[in-house]
Amino acid sequence: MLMELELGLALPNQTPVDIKRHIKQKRESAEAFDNGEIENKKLCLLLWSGQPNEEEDDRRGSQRTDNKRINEEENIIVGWPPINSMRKELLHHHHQQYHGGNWIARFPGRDNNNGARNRMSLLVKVKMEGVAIGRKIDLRLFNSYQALKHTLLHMFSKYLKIDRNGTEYTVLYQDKEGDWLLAGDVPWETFMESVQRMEILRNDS
Amino acid sequence: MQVVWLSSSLALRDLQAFILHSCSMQMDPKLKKTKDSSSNSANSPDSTHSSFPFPDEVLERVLSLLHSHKDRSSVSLVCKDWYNAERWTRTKLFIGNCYSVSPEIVARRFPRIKSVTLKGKPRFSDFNLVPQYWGADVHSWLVMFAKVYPFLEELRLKRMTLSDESLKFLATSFPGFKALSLLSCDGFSTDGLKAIATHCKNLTELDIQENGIDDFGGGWLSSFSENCSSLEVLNFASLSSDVSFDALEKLVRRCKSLRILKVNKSISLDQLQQLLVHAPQLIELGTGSFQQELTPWQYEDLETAFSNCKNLQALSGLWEATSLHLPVLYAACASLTFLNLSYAALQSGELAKLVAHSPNLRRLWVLDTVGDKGLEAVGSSCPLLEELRVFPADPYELDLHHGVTEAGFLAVSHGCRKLHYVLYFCRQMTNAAVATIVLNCPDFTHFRLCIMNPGEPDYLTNEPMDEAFGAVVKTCTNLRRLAVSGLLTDLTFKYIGKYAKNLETLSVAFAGSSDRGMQCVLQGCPKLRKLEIRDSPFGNAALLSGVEKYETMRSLWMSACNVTMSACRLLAKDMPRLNVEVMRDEGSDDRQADKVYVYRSVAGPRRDAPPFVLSL
Repeated sequence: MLMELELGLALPNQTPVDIKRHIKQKRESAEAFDNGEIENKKLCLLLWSGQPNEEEDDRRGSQRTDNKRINEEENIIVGWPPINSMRKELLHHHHQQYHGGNWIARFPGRDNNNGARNRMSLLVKVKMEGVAIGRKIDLRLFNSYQALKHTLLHMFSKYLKIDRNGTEYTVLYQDKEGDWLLAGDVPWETFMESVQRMEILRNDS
Repeated sequence: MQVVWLSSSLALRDLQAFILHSCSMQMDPKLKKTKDSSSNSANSPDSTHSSFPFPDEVLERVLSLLHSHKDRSSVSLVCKDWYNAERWTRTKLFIGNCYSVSPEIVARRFPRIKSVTLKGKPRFSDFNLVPQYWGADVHSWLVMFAKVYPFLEELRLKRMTLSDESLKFLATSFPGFKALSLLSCDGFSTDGLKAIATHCKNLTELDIQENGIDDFGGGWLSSFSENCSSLEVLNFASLSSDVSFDALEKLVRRCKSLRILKVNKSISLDQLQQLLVHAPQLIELGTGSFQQELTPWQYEDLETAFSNCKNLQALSGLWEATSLHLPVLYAACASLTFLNLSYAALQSGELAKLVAHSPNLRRLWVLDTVGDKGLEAVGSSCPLLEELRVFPADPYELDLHHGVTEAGFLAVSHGCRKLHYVLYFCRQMTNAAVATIVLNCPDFTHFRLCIMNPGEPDYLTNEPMDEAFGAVVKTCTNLRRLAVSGLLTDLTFKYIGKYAKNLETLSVAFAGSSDRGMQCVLQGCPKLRKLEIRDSPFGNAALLSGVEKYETMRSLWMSACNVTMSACRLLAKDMPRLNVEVMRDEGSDDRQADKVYVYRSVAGPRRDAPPFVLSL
């Protein structure tokens, strides 16, 4: 049973066209929508972009329709709901402690932006061993390795039966110099500055 | 020459009426032009104007009793003499937009400033809509202050950027410096705070709130000299690293006038108890972490410490507070007027018990974990409540079973008829509920409703939320600040333009259908000062319809709307006293003006704009 990770809100039937258009502008693939779909589809407040693009070697045309629902990609709506960074950060720590770190937030303040300071988003490709289609995620949504790994495994669990504990999987990343390293060894900020792409391997392979 | 004795107990309103009635006044049409050339008469306040019964000394004496910024502005416009008398007697400077004026202009006009409040970035920078390095750096102001106001005592900054160097400069340039308050600022670290603690021997206030600060450790607190005993306000609640408890305790002990103390999470419950023993005179307390294994004695000591704080009016902090330790507060709750629980994820029962002990509450901030049930308890226990803020504990979770609904808000409105300030984050609302709420509480001055899903309609009728905000503006004639949300058409804005005659600040997101909406607001709200809009379908026609209006406002912000560069250029060209600034998003069309910030200024275009800010 696929767990609906994407947080959804249903659009009303009488959405003024302009609202739709404005939220549309935030998306990377507006083509995924046509008017008929919008009524029934959930407009996702928080998603990762997983649209395969031209660079992907293993992209298959036939997958497209299947993935349309999974790959609805909206960028997170920046700065919404309007809560200031300080409050978000404090709530995040609270959640990490008491709810297993599942809370995903827009990156607050300057402490976390060191490497990614001038970039509006930090999209990296993630491939999972055994899964044909890679995904793209915005690393700025995360604050820790734990949250990232948890989310990645959850994301890929749609394709493969995955042990949710994640103990059987290793997360690797490729840094700026092209070397493949184990995720988790360096401080999160350093990781954010150098990560180019990621890969998840099964430990028994 | 008439001699007039004025009692210093004369009420301000009477004083103003007296002044205004007893002089024959002429609005000097040349006055506005003399503002900048006031340096001509800087050294010689004019001798008595023939139509004035009072000599200047009397006028200045009287004016020095005026503190309200607005009153002073009015006074300065009466005539040239009054303008001069006012500038010589002004000691507090309030600058709502640091770019609306320059340090040089300020220095020329006001020779005797002791206290400065400066605000910088547009409010949407709180939500990451303004890139880093945008500006609002305080340093050039400090340099000017050091030259012209060496006797400066107070500095209050909001959304400004300041470096450690600036803080060091501040600490060493003003020997009489007393009070520093930093709210939502960025660019500095605890090293800068160290400089303040080290050099400001007469410090009475250090108030650090919600800043983007690099925390290099709590050593700064230990830099207060052992002679420092003048602190009245110390707030470091938003800093994360540990401070030396020993240093803190000694500081609290010797600062007998300490009335506001807000510590950070590193201070434990038993440490808090030790602090309270030394400072039972506190009026405002921000606790540290409120979770710790306590022995029964420690628990009792803590309870006693709280009950000895007879003057406590405000309580905040309470991180990780649970039902285990909340009861120690009950004794202190009786006198509380402000309870800030927005960092304590309380459940409804816990809140109910707390507010049952707090009948005098005027202001309450909570997380939505308290649910509608918790708010019902507030409605029954706090009849004097004037302000309620409900923050979301899980802002990105769209599960409807989380948080509060219209029911909670309704419950509060039934029990708290004096409610006039609300900030309410929820996931569902109805037009009918809001209409009832404002019927119960018609005195709203600040109504900020955030339905967290953009474009969410009335969940019962599926209609837009137009009638809700229509009810608000029709009923609440004193409304000064409004934030709208949910599915909204132009009708909402027609209502606002038609009824919200006292509205000063309006925040709009994901709302409206056409230019007409924004036009109605610009044409209809005479007191509008700040308009901030994001992700709404307002375009060039709307922007340009406000051409006359923007000079009467502090600022306009429009992001992710339908405004183009050409319209912005036109606006800039037609209105030389407006600064029109555009920021473009990565990868967007050259013609789109993604983020537009318009504000009036006598200082001309910014000279410090970074490359990504286009000053048109």
